[in-house]
Amino acid sequence: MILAVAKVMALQTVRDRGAIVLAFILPPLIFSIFATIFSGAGGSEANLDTTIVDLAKTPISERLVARIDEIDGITITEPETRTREFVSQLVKRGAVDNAIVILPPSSDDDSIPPIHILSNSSTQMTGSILNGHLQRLIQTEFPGVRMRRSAPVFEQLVGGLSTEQERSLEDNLSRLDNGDDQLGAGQDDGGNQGQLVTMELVDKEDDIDIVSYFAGAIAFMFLLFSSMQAAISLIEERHSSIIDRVAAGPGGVDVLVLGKFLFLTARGTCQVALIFLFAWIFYSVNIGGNFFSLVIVTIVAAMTASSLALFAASACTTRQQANAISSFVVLVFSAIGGSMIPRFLMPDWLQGVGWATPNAWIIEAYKEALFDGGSVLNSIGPLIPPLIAGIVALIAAIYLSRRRVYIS
Amino acid sequence: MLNNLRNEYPLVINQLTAGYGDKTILDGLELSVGKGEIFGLLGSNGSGKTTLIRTICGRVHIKTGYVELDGEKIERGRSHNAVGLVPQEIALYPFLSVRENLALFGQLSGLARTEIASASAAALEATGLADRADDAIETLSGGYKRRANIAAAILHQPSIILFDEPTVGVDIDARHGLHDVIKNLRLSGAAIILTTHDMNQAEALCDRVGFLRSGNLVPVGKPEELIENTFGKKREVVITVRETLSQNQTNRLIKAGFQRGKSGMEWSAFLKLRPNDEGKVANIIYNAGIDVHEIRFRQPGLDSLFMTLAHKDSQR
Repeated sequence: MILAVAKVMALQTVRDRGAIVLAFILPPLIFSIFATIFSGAGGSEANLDTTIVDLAKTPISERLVARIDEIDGITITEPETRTREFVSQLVKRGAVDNAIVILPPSSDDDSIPPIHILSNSSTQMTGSILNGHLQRLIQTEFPGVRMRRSAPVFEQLVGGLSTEQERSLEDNLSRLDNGDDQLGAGQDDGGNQGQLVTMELVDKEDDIDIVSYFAGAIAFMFLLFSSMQAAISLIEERHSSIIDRVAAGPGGVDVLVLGKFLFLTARGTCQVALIFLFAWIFYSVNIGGNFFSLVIVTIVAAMTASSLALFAASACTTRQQANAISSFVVLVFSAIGGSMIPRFLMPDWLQGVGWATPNAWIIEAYKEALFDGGSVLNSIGPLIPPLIAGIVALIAAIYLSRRRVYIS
Repeated sequence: MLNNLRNEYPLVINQLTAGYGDKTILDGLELSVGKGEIFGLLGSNGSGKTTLIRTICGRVHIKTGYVELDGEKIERGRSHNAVGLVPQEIALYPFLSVRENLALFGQLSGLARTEIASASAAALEATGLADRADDAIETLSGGYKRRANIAAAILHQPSIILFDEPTVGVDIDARHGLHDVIKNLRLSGAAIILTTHDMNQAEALCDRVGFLRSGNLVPVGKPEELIENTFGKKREVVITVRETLSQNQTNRLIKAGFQRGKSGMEWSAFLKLRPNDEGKVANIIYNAGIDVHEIRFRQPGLDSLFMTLAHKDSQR
């Protein structure tokens, strides 16, 4: 019986061209618009979740770390292992937005800048913001560090310094490092030889992570939209007395709700599959790296969206009411849950609020699923809250539908 | 003896009290509908017809008494496949063909897949839809949609068929066609309950009718008997006036035994008239200076009874 109801929903979709466009053509289209915009975007104000590895361990580097920690808009996360490889993995997985690696002073090659900012493609823009913060900090508070780096070049140009000149230079540089504003602060070195900070992408080989992000983010937003639209048929069935007729049968109204849930989940899975297929073909998103996780996340995402939509339709009395409420809820969920704008660009408090939406969890699960080398377990963790929400919503939808039919 | 009674009466309602929350809509209602009988459930809006239909479908909490379908007491929330419901709305999927709708509702009625084709064929035959079986519901005329609505309700051969205003919004030709379908369904032995506001339809179709008033069916009986018991040899005089009457004119009509109809421009009276008394009635009206559009003399019908009962209820 449940299959029969699901089949009717499928026929309705197939025979309604508008529904097909909404369900299968619009999502990849919107996704590609977002992917195109954000794959080359920059940003300004953001809260940067950053980790630091100080491999130099000098008084200056320790002071630099302390000063970075004091910058507004930068949250420092302590890494479990203080190695470049470990923090690089954190950035690659999206556990932090960026990492700062301060190299030891004994580095042989002076052309390698001593501070590296690691970003992944989706956090490249926050890496640039972090770079700006660091450049300003070094220029205003650590001018000696920068000038000390230029000294060998200067020495080469003047044909060598006497012992007295070297001592004087070192004294003055130390005074600069200790904050003497009268000496050289605010000057620009103007060349690569003095460059202290460099940016590095940890996922250069597939620099389309922002696209991957939006594949999951847009997919879930559309799952919510299209599920809400389809679930409204529950209200129409109430008004046309179909539900009365079904309630008189052996399956009762549960069959109608469960049949719709089955169809919406299946259709939602197809919609998301289409978006990722599109992302794979046109944006080279790696969907094969952790395919099983991707499938699990997609099915749970579709189930969650279906359940929430059926709950909304069961709770609403009229189609207009359901339309208004569902549009409002989907837009708010999508906006603060990260389906429209990446959450790392939002203020801290809003990022916190975002965890109250299924979007944030599903996007997190997709991030884990699309991380090449991640395990299925990593994806399952963020799926638990939306899965629980989905089960509760489905039970509530059945309960409310029964209450509307079986009147006390 | 009791088994025989159950066999003869697929629907038995005894001392039924039901309603929503603290509100009692049906109060000690009694009704039995026999096999092949068409029972007309009549009453004004809000009298409880829909509540009674819902209660028979197991959707309303029964406070006291019981409803038996095929000898089995119903429980709220449990399905009772003995019932076939024909709602007032077209309770079908408009984008599906008639046959596809029947297949779906056949499955939802608990029919096995193997039974659906033959059950659909029988339902299509009974409703005269065999030629339109593959047309989408949305492309059918109002009358054919109503037929399809009936077909979906009789697929599983229910022993009780509930019709809720089955001919609303259809033209006279289509209505007659639907009347034929309903009359033929009684041959299957099903007990049929028909709710309608169309008293002519009730008179034409129903073996018995009952007026739902104050939560109970009073009176119940064959249409002609109820009319005879209420009006005897009286005839109904109906006048339609062109202009609103003055107080003096109103008083004169009331004094002559007339009562105002629903529209306010129509007045009716039940009078014992001897041959040639029609002229006397006309004189009373003309003498009152009433500008009359029409005067009709007719035998009272169920609509007359309905109006009389409604008038009595309004004066209570």
